[in-house]
Amino acid sequence: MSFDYDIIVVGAGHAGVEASLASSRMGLSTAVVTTNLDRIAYMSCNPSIGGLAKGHMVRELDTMGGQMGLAADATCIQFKRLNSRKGPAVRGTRVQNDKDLYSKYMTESLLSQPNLKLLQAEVKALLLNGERCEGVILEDGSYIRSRSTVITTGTFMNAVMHIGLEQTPGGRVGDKASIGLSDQLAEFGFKVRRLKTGTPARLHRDSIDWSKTTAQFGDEKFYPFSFKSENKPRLPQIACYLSRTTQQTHQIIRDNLKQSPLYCGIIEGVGPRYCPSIEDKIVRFADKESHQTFLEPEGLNTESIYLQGISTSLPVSVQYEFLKTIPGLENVKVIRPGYAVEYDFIEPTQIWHRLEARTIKGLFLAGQINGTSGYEEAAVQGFVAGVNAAHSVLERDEFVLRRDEAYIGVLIDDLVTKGTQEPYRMFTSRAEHRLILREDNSIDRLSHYGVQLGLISGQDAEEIFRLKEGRASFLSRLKSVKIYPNASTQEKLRGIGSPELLKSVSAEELLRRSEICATDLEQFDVEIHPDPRVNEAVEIEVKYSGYVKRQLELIAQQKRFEDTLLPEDLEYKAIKGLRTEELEKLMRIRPRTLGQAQRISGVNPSAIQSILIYLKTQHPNTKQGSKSEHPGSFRSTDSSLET
Amino acid sequence: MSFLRDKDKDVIAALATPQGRGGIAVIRISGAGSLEIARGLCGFLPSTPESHKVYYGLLKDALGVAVDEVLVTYFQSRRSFTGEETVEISCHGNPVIAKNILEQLSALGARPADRGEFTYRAFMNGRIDLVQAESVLTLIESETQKGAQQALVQLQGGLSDRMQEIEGHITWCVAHLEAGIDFSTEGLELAELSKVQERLEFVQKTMGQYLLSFQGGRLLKDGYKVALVGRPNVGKSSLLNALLEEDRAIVSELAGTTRDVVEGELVLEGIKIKLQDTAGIRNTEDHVESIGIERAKKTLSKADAVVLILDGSAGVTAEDLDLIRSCETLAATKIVAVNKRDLINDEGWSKLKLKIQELGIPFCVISGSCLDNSLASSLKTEVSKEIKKTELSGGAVLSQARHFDLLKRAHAHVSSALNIHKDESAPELAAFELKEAVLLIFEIQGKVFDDQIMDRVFKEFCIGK
Repeated sequence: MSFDYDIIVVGAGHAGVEASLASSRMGLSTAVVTTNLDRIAYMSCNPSIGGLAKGHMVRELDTMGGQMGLAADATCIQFKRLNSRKGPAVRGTRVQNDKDLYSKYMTESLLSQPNLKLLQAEVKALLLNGERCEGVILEDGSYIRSRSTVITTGTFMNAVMHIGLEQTPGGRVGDKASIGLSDQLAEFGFKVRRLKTGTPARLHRDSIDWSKTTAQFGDEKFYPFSFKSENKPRLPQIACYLSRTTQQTHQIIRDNLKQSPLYCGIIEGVGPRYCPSIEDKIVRFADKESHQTFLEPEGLNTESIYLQGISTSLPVSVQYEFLKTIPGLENVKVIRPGYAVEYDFIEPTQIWHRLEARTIKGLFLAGQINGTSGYEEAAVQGFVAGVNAAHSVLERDEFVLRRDEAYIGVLIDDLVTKGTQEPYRMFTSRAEHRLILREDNSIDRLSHYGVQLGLISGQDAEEIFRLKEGRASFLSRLKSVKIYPNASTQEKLRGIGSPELLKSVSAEELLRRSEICATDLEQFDVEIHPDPRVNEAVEIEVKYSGYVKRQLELIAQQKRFEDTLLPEDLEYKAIKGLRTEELEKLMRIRPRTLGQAQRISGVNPSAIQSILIYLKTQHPNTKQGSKSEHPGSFRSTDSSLET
Repeated sequence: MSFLRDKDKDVIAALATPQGRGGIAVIRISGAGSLEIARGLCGFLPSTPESHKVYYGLLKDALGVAVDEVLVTYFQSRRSFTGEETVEISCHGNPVIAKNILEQLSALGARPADRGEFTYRAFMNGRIDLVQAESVLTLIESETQKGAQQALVQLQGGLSDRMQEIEGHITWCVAHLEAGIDFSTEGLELAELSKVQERLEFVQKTMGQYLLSFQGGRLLKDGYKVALVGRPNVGKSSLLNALLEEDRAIVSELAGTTRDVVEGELVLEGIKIKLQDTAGIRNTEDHVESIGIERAKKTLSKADAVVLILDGSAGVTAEDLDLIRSCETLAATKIVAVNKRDLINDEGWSKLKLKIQELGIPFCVISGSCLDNSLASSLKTEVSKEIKKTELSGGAVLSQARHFDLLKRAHAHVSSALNIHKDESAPELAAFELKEAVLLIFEIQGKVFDDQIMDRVFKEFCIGK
């Protein structure tokens, strides 16, 4: 049998781009099929990348050789570190982007990528041979054959747009819906459900009275997502502008709810609770007098302003009416009204951690098709699906990240274990090991995967090595350098506003003081590293060390369950002591590890014990948890340096 | 793993009522196939009996010889204590009959149950949680009404409910901290941080109260130990007899659960009082003297109250002073009981009291005579006062050392979280502390899988229930 490509990626959104770049960079011939080559990595909603927990994922992706961080750095027009006054684990990087330049950057990345071909066509169906996917069937009836296929159709499957009571087929203004694929999957036995998302109006820049809004500038200091990027933004930096809804706004919306497709039963799909439409906000939080909104420019050279926080599907006339009650928007001109989109997604408990469909070999799913929301959630899935599609062709082991290694691991494990009821967005609180899943240590946690996969090499690999080495040696220096309580030390401490020393301490101990940062140590003749990325990461590691240690202990406790693999064909029916509900869930979800089985709601501790005992008696050769150092911390290397 | 699953397929049988002679004895048979085995002896049972219905008939052995008139109750699987098919046979309370029936059952394939095996199965089948499993043990072993009541409350989920309530409050706080972290940019009006603080303070206080109640819970389960100390012939045995006789207390030979020598037991304020005589140990032959002293020290260190008996007519001797001083470091309530008060005048009494007070050790001094029981009743009044000081509110107070240890650790995490929370710069660390607390509370409830806990708990179970 001959194949046209090793891998076909259907869709060129944020998931499709990462999937195809990963597989082609791993040396496999890859075709990207999209209905619109002008909308590659298009930001259909807000013109920004990152945020809390999302910024973490962008960094993780970058560390393993993904593209999103580079594109976001290159097209950044405002930088912010969120939660900067809270602890380092919950700080998140967010940037505003020039959306056209972002799309252009990614388009060029694909066009210049060897082994990768871009095709504009509409995929009507999968080319199935029994329980194997062997490519796709296009609208004109022609076939493209592949060894693995990655579907990243976003919100386009059976998509319907709602504005007021009017509906138009399509997943985004100007683009058609993709019809056929989800019906085919449903016929094959997949559970297909419906979700809803929405976007606000885009406003004409010149129609806004900016004097009535408050300018919000980004941070002075720029920390790029990518370890490869320079530490200065390339583009000029802009401000966003804050305004607020008024009582009048709320009254108009309340008076027109009967024209909202959300409130008259037209929309069945479930929307995200954390990102409600303005209609939702006003109904659900009736006593709130005002909601904030940010006016965000969509780029440096565009007229278009994104109205953050005011997504709506009310009729255009109503949108105009309520927008004019927001200070600054009295004479607003709408470029494109807000709308809601309803679309099909595949219940994600039907895929494995490697993102391959359980019942169709060679078929990988990534992005919103799995019930997620957000560019970052899509991109990281795209990457994992691309790598695994390649591994499937190359007959290598699956590539799966654990929950204690990466937010990406948390995301995928949540999806395939619990499924989702609403568009799934990442939060820091979803990661039980969040204190060690930080932006600053993503390199320490994950870069070895990038190197192993061949996606980080040459100069980049050297840079990674330099950073990791630098951190380890700086930390060991801090441990060995002693600071003595002499007059000059005490004077310097007073200068910093830190209590005097009572006895000599190591530089590491001094750095544990909350008021002392790594650069202060220079005053005490501690040689600091020239790269701030080294100093900052070590500083955080030192200040957090007590908690990091406890977090690692908790991980170690859980590890034997996480490392106990459950055979994919485990005969659950033969295990005594499982209740009907437990049996049903275990057979449906088929957990990959005993740890995952524990996380399935409704599976009790007694069931875990029964499974474990069954494994020990029936599958004595099952891989069981072994104790190994946690890769999430570069402390593991410094012990060898100390001796 | 100490519990092999192969044997869990067996049908098991054991006496569910205490060993010995009684009105009736109940034999429980559990496991798939119990009915078939029971029908081998109780031919009168229908092949598909109704669950929870009592059947009456003659139980006959393999040769067809009638053994006893019995009442048999059938419980279908999922509706029994263990969750498995279960048959309970009530026969007459004669140990010979019960033993005979168990032997007959064994011959038909019902293996004698291991210690705690019924409860183990009930837990494994999700019929009871770990807290309830533990309280089964307490219920069986409770010798006083209060202890039994408390165990019953636990069995019905009282402690689980309280833990769930604490867990609920902590989770509320975590949710608010998390919202403050994950939605900090959304301009949400979160419950003010002071509300989180208030709630945490409340949880901290409640947990503290439960911890305090542990002492009370322990008393309900283990009883209150009173160690009697004194030179020979100061009236110790008389006091002991006076204490025991008046209450018609059961004098047990040896308490099964403790290695301490217990001279007798009585009940005060619903609490079992265990009287321990340490002097008996001291008056041994020389070569075992050192061992005797060791044991006496051990008994003293475990006692809830130490009663030092003096002969009032002899004053405070040097040996008495030594004894008093040796009690100085003990945590127990210290009482000096002066016997033969009727033989000394008021002046002598004042001097004696002064001499004891001069030692600066917080002793409570009582007096009376063993002849008219006045010393015994003063002592009982004093002990009752002490018991009442301990929190004994009937609810689900802690009674297991395991629960106490876990809750204490959880309490420490809540306290740390409160400290961190006061300075708002590290909500993620406050949340971390609270999540650790929740994990510990889950552990109390048996909601987390830990085979070590399971082993520990089930090792303590006795057979029967």
